[in-house]
Formats: sequence, structure tokens, C-alpha cells
Amino acid sequence: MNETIRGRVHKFGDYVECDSHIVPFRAVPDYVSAAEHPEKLAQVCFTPVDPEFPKRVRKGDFIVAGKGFGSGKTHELGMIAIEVSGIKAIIAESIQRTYFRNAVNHGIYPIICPGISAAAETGDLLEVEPGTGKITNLTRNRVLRAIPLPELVLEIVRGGGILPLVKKRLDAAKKQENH
Amino acid sequence: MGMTITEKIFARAYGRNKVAAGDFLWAKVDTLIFHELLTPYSIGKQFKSLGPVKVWDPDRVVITIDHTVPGSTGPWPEVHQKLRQFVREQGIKNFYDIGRHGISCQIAAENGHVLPGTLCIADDAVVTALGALGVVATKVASEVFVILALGEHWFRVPESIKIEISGEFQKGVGARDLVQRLLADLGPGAAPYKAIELVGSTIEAMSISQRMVLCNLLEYTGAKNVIINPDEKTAEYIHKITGKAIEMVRSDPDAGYEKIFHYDVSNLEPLLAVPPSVHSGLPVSSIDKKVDQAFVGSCVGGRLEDLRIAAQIVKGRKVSPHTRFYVTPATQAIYRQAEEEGVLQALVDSGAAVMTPGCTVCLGNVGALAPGEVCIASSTANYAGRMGSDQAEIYLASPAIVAASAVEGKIADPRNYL
Repeated sequence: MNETIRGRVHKFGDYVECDSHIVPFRAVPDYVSAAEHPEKLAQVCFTPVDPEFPKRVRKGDFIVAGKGFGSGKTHELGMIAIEVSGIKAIIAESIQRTYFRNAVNHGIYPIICPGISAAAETGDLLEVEPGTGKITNLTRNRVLRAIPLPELVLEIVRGGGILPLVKKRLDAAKKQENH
Repeated sequence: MGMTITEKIFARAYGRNKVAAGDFLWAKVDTLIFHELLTPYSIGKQFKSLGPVKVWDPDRVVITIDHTVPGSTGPWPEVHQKLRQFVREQGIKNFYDIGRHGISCQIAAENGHVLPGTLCIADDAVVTALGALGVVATKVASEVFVILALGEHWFRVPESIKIEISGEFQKGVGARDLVQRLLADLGPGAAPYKAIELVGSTIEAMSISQRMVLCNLLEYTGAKNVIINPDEKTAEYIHKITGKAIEMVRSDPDAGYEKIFHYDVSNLEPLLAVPPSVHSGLPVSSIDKKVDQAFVGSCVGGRLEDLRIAAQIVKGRKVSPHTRFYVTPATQAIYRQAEEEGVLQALVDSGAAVMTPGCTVCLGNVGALAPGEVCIASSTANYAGRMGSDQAEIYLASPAIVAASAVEGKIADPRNYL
């Protein structure tokens, strides 16, 4: 299966960090809020560097970033905020490994694309094939090559993240037991 | 081509003879460690939503309460209560509640839950410290629920980068100064998704505690894990705790590395990380700054060796009257041993505030900073707002620098006291 996704870009720079840039360290109490009020995280998402982001973002949009997306203290709160904001893909020059995992597990495509920083701006419309790595900037008429995502990762993201996948596996195991 | 220690450990966890860097696979986890912070989400929301599920292997799970000790206010008493309920329901023995408490990864290591050659997963990035014991130790955040349910998780086998360290430390200089130098030189993008393997005569001469300092903080380069091949020191550490001999899983001589860096520590001086970044390494002699607070503690700077050197520096002296000096041993066992050795006595006599084990000052749950205040700490992070006011400044340094600074009331060179 080779899905194609389209979305509008929100552009950020290099070394975006959770606590300084995505969810300010003391803006929300903690994971208690994440569990009970995820919408509170969406309200502050990226406001330290882009105060308009919560108002501007729509379901299915993309983040485009420079090097080292998810550097510093790699708190998952940042990815929960991004997921609840409706983001479907993060396309960056490079992605810190914990944030790569966080994206996959939250049903977001983490796409590593050298050159993307220079090839897209906020508001652009991109078309992305996560399985082949083909990225087309429809606004600027440019094509780039990202690193294709392996099937193991695509399966998780397609299903909406790691939680649905675990449920599926546990259900399958239960059915086998009952035979 | 042979395999690196990281590749070998993933191969074993995957149940195959060989894996290659870049492979994505599902791997069986040997030890799962987590603390209370993420549990409202990881257990309360995600694990609970799976229905009535039994933890795959309760004896392989290590749980601590460390970030909100002793400051358990707000939502935390109920979070702790729910965690205790979960532990009871699942029959998890290795729950280090108050009384046998401490910082998660240090607790796991001290109590024999971390054996060389294994895959060790935690919900905190500082778990990479355990790579000092020859394990692949890496963070997964709230996905601990996946491992609790299935006993395995998906991973990407990282390429390995080798850093070779040689030379002898000068007096008053050690692992913390070395890691500040490395973080300043390498920056946050030096090892994205890589395994950093530390080798060389300097590493071999280091204690396990010093090796843990390096393996902890080098995660900031973007590395997936940081690892040191086990040797006699590792064997001795494990034997003392478990009474067992270890299986020596080590890199093959012909294993492949993407990059190799060389460092010599002979000319290294005491270094500080300057706020707001850990990727800075300025000589202690270059900064003239009054300090309102000093802190020796945390997963990276709160072990017995750290407390000992702090005590050695302050013994017979008094902490500056305008500086608050907090000291937090990383675990109850370290606290007890420090007490027996007279280390805590020397610290208290000098005017330090010794606290019960936990993360404490590292994240401002105790000793939070007011606007304009300056803290020097042996902990892990110095971004704005980390310890309270985002108008406060946090300098990171070795416990020796911290103790000397507590005495002088300003950033000070420990070599004047050693």
C-alpha cells in the first residue's frame, strides 16, 4: 500500500525543543493534564515561537522543520500537543530519535527530507508519499526525495498510532486462545 | 563484517544471529524501568484502555517515585495512590516506594535489575546512563504501556559512532568536565539516532559511576544510546550486587562505525555549561558570578563519589552565607553509605541542606529559583524555567565545582581545594 497525503505547511527552524518551543515547561501542569485535558496542550502548542499556531492549524496539516526536530529534553508532551492540534506529518531535515518514535506512536508520519527547509514555507501545500519518499511542493512546483519509511512504521501510523496496534495484537491473541 | 555491541544486543533481543544498522524490528525487552511522572497517561489512559491485561513479566519491571519526592502536592498524591494500586494489582515486586526510594535508573542498577548484554528500556532519557554497564539502554516515553502489555517493542538498529578517549585527567578534573567538552564540541546534532560507543584508556580507568556520567549526558547529541563495552570493572560491579559472573558481550574487532572521534583529556580543565544550553563548555576560571544556590544531586551528579568530593571540599569550611547549598543523594543506599562515612555530617556541618533521595532541585520541585537568581548544579538541564523562574540562570558543572562555589558564594575553581 502506498498512501499519498496532502497538507498545509507550518514552518519552523532548527533544533526545535519541547520545553522551549513546543509546550513551555510550566505552561501545563504535567501528564495529568495530558491524560485528562489534551485540548489544553493544543492551546499552547508552539506559542513560544509562533503565537498564531493554535489558531492557524487545521486537521491534516504538516510541520516542516530544520535540523534536530525534538532536541533537548525529549518530553512526549510536545508530540501529544502536536497530535491533538491535528498535524498528520512532520517533515524535517532531521528528527531526534525519541521524537521520531513519538510521532509514529501518535499516528504522525515522521519524514526525514534533506533540503526541505529551503523548499517550503508556511502556507505551502505539499503532497507526500511516505512509502516512497516523494514530496511535491504543489505551491512552488518542486519535487524532493525524503527517506522512505519502512512498512513496520507505516503500518503503525496508518492504524492511528501504537495504541490501536497493541489492541489489535491483544485481540488477535485472545481469539487464538479461545480456539 | 563483525557487529558492534549494540547490534549484538539487538540481534539477541530480536532472536536472530545478525542484524544490521538501519533495520527496523520488534525486540524483546529484558528490563523495563519507569517512574511516576508519565503514569497518568501511560498507565491511567493507555494501558487501562486495553482492558484487563496482565503485565507480560512483572519481575522485569522496575518502578520508582522520584520526580515528585518529597514535593508531593497538587495532583501527585492521587497519582502515587493509583500507581500503588497498579503495582498491587499486577504483582510487581520491584516497586521502590518511599523508604527504599531513589532515582529510577540508579535504583535499577544498584539492585541488580540491569545486566550487561541486555536491552533495557525506560521512560526517561537519562536511562542512557546504564549503557555504562554494557547494556543497550534507551528511552521510549509513555509507550512503556506497549512493553507492559506485549513484552516487546519496535526499534531501529542504530549506526554506531566511536569516541576514543585517551590521556589522564589532571587533579580536580573528571568525567563531568569531559562530557561538557564533548557536548560543546559535538553539539545537539552530532549523533542523530546513533549508538555512541565510548572506548579508550581514559574510559578503562574510569569507575562505573564516572562512566555513567558520560553515558547519561551524551544522549544530548541526539544519540539513541551510549554504551561502553563491559570489562573487569563492570564484572566487579555486577558481582558485588548479584554474586553472578557476567556474559561479556562486546563489539567485534571488525565491527563497522560510521565515524570515529578522538579526544585527549590531558589538558582538560574544569568546565561549566552556561545557560541556557548544555552545549557549552567554558573554563571555570573565565566566569565571575555570584551564586545564590548550589546543588549536588540528580541522576548524573548525586552518587557516592559525587557526595564524597563535595564533602572533601567543604569539610572544615562554611558555605557562603548568601548561598543555599542543597545536596540530594540519588538513592537511599547512597544516603545510608554517605551517612556511615561521615560525608553527610561534613556537608551538614558546613551548612548544606541534605535531602531525601529524588530528582528534587534538578527540576525545581525543591529549591525553586526566583527571578534573577543564579544556581550552579551537578544536574542535567539548564534551559530557561527549568528550576522555577525563567529569569533565573542555571550553570551546570561537576560536584567539585559546585562545592567550591558553595563555599566561595561564587563560581569557583575546585583545584584550589584539592
